Amino acid sequence: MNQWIAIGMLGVVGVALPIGMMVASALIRPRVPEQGKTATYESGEVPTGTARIQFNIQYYMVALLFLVFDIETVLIFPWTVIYRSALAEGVSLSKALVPMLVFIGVLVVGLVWAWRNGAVSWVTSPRALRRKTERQQ
Amino acid sequence: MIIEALIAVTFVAALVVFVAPDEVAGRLAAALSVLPVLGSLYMWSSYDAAGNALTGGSVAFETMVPWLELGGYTLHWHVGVDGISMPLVVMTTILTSLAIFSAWTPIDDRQSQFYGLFLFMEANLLGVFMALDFFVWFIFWEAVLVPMYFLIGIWGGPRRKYAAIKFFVYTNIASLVMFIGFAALVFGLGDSVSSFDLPAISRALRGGELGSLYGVSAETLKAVAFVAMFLGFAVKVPIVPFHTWLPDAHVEAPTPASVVLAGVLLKMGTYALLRFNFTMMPDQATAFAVPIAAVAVLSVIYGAILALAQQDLKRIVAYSSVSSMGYVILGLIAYNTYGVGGATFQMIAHGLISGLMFMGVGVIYNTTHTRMVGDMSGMADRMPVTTGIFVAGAFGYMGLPLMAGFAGEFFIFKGAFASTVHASMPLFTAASMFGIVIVAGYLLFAMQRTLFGPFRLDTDYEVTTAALHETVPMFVLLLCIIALGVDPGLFFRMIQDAVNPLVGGGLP
Amino acid sequence: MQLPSWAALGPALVLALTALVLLGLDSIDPDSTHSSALAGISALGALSALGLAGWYLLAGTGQASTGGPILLYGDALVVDGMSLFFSVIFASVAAMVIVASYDYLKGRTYQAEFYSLVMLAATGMTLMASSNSLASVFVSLELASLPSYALVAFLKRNEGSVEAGLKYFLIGAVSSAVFAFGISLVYAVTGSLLLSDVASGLVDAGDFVGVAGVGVLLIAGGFAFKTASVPFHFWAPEAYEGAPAPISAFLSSASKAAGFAVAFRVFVEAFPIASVVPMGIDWPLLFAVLAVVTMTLGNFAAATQENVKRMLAYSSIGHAGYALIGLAALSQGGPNGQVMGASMAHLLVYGFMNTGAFLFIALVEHWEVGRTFEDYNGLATKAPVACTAMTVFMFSLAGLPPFGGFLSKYALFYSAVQGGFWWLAAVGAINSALSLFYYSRVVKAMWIEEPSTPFELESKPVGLYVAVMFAAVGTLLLLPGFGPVVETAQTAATALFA
Repeated sequence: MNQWIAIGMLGVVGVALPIGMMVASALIRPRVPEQGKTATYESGEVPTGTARIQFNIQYYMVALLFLVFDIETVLIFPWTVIYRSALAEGVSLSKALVPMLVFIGVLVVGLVWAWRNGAVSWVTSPRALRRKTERQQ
Repeated sequence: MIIEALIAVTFVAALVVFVAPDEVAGRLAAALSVLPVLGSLYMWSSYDAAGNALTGGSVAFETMVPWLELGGYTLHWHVGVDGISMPLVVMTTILTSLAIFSAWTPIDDRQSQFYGLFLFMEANLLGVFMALDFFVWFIFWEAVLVPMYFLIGIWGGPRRKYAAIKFFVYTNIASLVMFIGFAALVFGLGDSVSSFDLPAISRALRGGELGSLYGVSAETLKAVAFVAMFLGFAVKVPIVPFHTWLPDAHVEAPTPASVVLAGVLLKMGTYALLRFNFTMMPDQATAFAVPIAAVAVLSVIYGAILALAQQDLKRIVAYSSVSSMGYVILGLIAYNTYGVGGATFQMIAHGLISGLMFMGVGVIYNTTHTRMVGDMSGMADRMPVTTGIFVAGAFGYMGLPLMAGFAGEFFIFKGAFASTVHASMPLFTAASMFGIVIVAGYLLFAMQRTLFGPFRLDTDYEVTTAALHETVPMFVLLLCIIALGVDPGLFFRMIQDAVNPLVGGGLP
Repeated sequence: MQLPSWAALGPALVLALTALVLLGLDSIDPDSTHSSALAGISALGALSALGLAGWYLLAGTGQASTGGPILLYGDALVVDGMSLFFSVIFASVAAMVIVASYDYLKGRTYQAEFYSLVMLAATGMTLMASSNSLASVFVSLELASLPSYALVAFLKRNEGSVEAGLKYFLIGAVSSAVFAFGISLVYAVTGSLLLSDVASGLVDAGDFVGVAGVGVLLIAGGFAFKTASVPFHFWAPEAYEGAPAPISAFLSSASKAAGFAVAFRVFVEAFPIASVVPMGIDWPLLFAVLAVVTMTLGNFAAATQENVKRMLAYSSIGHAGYALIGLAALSQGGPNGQVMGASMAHLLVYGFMNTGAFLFIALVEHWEVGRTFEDYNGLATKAPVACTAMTVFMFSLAGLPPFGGFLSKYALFYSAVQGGFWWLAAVGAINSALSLFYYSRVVKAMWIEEPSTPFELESKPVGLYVAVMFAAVGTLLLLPGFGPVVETAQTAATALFA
C-alpha cells in the first residue's frame, strides 16, 4: 500500500463532502423565490450610488494602528510565556527584559507621534477643524 | 619637488583667477603666469640630467612615490624631465604666459573663467610633458582636452559649438584607442613589469620581454598595439587623414587658444609618438617606415596645398601647421640623431613660430575684424611694428637661416637623407622638400596681398597701431626664435643627449 | 578598552536613534516646524554614523586583522569589512542629502517626518549590508523600501510625485513578493535561512536542484528591483523624475548600493560558485547577461532624453549595469575578490558623483529654472561655481580621466579582464565612451549655449551649495585618494570569498 493513497483519499473526500452536501440540500430544500432575497443586503438596507466613493482617511488610520498593535502581540505573547522560565534558568534581565522594553519603547515613540499628530482623534478630523477655523477667520 | 611646486602653483593660480572678478582677471592671470615661467627657467638653468629618461638615463628633478595598487600593478606619482621634455616645458610656460597677455584685447566676456581655464590647461600640459608614469601621464593628457573644449566652445567664432564638439569627440576617441593599445601591451608583458612606470615598461619592451596575450602572439600584439597607439596620437598631431578637426578648431578658437593649440597641444601628439611608439617599439617603427614616411610626406604636401587654397589667414596658418608637423614625423621615422633630434627641435621651433603667426593674425583681426585675404591690403601703412614682426615670423616659417625654423628643418632633412631605416628614405625626403617651396609661395602671396600695397579695408573699423600688450609678446617670441636660430645648441645639445641612447649611437 | 560586540552595529543604531529622536521632537510640538534644528540633528546623526563606520573600518573591526567577522543575534547579522564599507557610502550620501534638503524643504510641512524617513531608510540600508540570513535580508530590505515609497510621494500636491510613488510602490510590492517566494523556495530545499547553512544545505539538494534554481532566479529578481537593473528597472525613471530631487539622489546612490551590498553577500555566501555552478545554477552567467542588457539599455535610453533628471535616471540604470560586473565576472578560482571589490569601490565613487548630480538638479529645481536641456542653457553665466561642480560630476560619470570616475571604472573593467571576462569589459568600455555624448550635452548647455530667455537666480541656498560642493570635492579627491578605497574594498570582498 502506497501511503500516498491515504493522502489522495483525504483530498477526494475533502472535495466531495462539501459538494455532496450542497447538492443534497439543493435537491431537497423547498424553493420560494421572493424579491427580498435578491437584494444586496437581506437586512433590507437599499444600497445607493457606486462603491467607488472616498472613505474618510480616519478609517485607514484605525486600520493601520490596529495592524501595528495586532502584530506586536505576536511577539509579546511567546515572550511572556518563556519569560519566567528564562529567568529561572539564569538568563540576565538585560537579555530577557531590556530588548522587549526597547521594542515597546520604539512602538510608544511611534504611538505618541501618531497621537500628537491627530491620528487617534477618531471623531474629529483635524483638517476639517482647521478648515473650519480658517473659514471663520 | 620643483616639479610638484610648478604644477601646484599653476593649479592654484588657475583656481584664484577662476573666482576673481572679471575686471582684474586678465592682469592677475598674466602676473601669476610669470611664476611658472620663472620656475621652468630655473629648472632649465639647473638641469643636470644625462641620457634618455625611458632608457635608463638619469632624470632631473625626479620624484617617484607609490600612489595606488590596482590588481597587481602599482601606480606611481612619477615625474621628472630629461633632454626631450625640458625644452618643451620651457616653451609651454613661455608661450602660455605670452598668450595670456595677447588675450587682453580679444577676450571681453567671462574673463575670469577664460583665464582660469587657460592656466588650468597650462598646468595639465606641464604634467603631460613631465609625467613618467602612464596613468599620471594619461590623466594630464585627457585633462588638457576639457579646458580646450570650453575655450573653443565659449569664446570661439560663429561655428564654435560644432568645432568644440568635433575636437572633443575626435581626440577622446583617439585617446580610447591609444589607451587600449597601450594597456594590451602592458598586460602582454606579464610578470616582467608590475607597474605602469614608463621607464620600466620601456626597458622591458626594448628588452623583448613581450609575451603572448589571449593567444595573440607577441609580434602580432606589438604590431596591433603600435598601430592603435599611432592612430591615437596621429589624431592629436594631426597626420593627414585625421586632420579634419584641426582647421575647424583653429578657425573657431579664440586667438590665444589657437596659439596654445598650435604651439603646445599639437606637440603633445608628436611628443607621445616619440615617447611611446618610437622609444618603446623601435623595431615596429622601422618595420612601418614606408607607410609612416608616406603619411608624413602626404601631410607636408597636402597641408601645404590646402594652405595655398585658403583665403582666411588663420586657416592658412592652421593648414601650414599640418604641413610642419609632417616634417616632425619625417624626422622621427628617420630614426637617427639628427632626424629624431631635429624633430624634437622642430617641435619647439614650430611652437614658437606658429604661436607668433597666430598672434599676428589675431592682432590684425582685432583691429580689422576680418581675416580674409581679399578684404584688406596695405596694413603695413597703419601697423608697421606688427607687420614687421609678422613678416619676420613668416620668414622663420619659411626656414630662413638664423631662425629656429631653419635649424629644425635642416636637422630633419640631414637626418632623413642619411637615414638607414629604409632605402627609399632619400626619395621621401626629396619629395617633402617641395613643401618648403609651397610654404614660401603661399606665405609670400598672402602677405603681399594683405600687408603691402596701398591701404584698403572693406570693414568699417578704425585701424590703429596695436597696443603694447599685443606687440610685445610677439616681439619676445621673435627674440626666442632668433636666439634658437643663432644657437640651436641652446636646446639641441640636451635633445641630442637624450636622443642618442634611443637611436643607438652618436652623431655620424 | 574593548567595546561590547553589539556596538559593532553602531552606525545602524545611531541612524535609528536619530530617526526616533526626530519623531520625538515632532511629538512635542507637532504644529510648528523647526527646520534648522531638525536638519541639524539629522545631519549630526548621519555624520556620527559616518564617523563610527569610518573609525571601525580603519580600526579593522570585523576584519581578518581583529579576528574576523562579528556575528550577532544568532548569526542573523554580521559586521565585517564589507558591511562597514557600505555603511560609509550610505551615511555619506545621507549626510549630503540631508544638508541639501534643508533648503529644498523650505516652507514645506512634515519636515520632521521627511528627515526621520530618510534616517529610517538609511538604517534599513545599513542593516541590509549586515544581513547574514535571508530573513534579516527581507526585513531590512522592507525597512529600506517602505520609507522610500513615502519619500518619493512626499510632494503630495504634485501629481508627478504621487504617481511616481504609487508606481514605485506597486513594482516594489510585486518584487517583494517575488523575492519572498524565492526565499521560501530556497528554504524549502535547504531547510535554513542562514546564508552559510543555505550553502551547506544546497550541496545535498539532490532532486530539488530545479526548485533551488527557481528560488535563486526569483531572489535575483528581487535584487534587480532594488538596484534598478533590467528587468525590474521600469520604476526608476518614473520614481527618480517624480521624486523630490534630494530623494532621487538618495535612492539612485544609496538605495542602489544597498541592493548591491545585499546581493553580493547573499550570492557569494549562500550560493557559492564552487558548489552551485556545477549543479547547473549558473548565476554569474545570469548576471553577465543582465549587466550587458542593463548598461546598454540604460545608456541608449539616456541618450534620447530631453529632460535632464530623466537622463540622469537612465544613466543611473546604466551604472547599475557597470556595477553588476561585480557579480558577473566571477568564476571558480578567478580573482573574484578583486572584481567585487572594484565594483564596491565604483559604487562609492558613484555615490559621490551621482548624489552630487541629483543635488545640482535639486538646486536648479529650487531656482525653478526648468527641467529640459534647453532650460539649462547659459546657466553657467549665472552660477559658475555650481556649474563647475556639475561639470565635474558629468565628466566623472562619463569616466573622463581627471576625476574619480575614471579610476573606478578602469579598476572595474580591468578586474573583469583579469577574470577572463574581457568581452564584458569591452561592452562596458564602449558604453562608457557612448555615455560621454549625453553627459556632455548637459555641460554644453550650461556653458556654451546662450540662454533662450534671460533669467535671474534670486538666491544662493547655502545648504544645497555646501552639499554640492562637498560631493564635487569628494569626486575630485577620490582620484588621488582612490588607492585606500579600492584596497579596503578589495580586502573586504576577498574576505567574503575566503
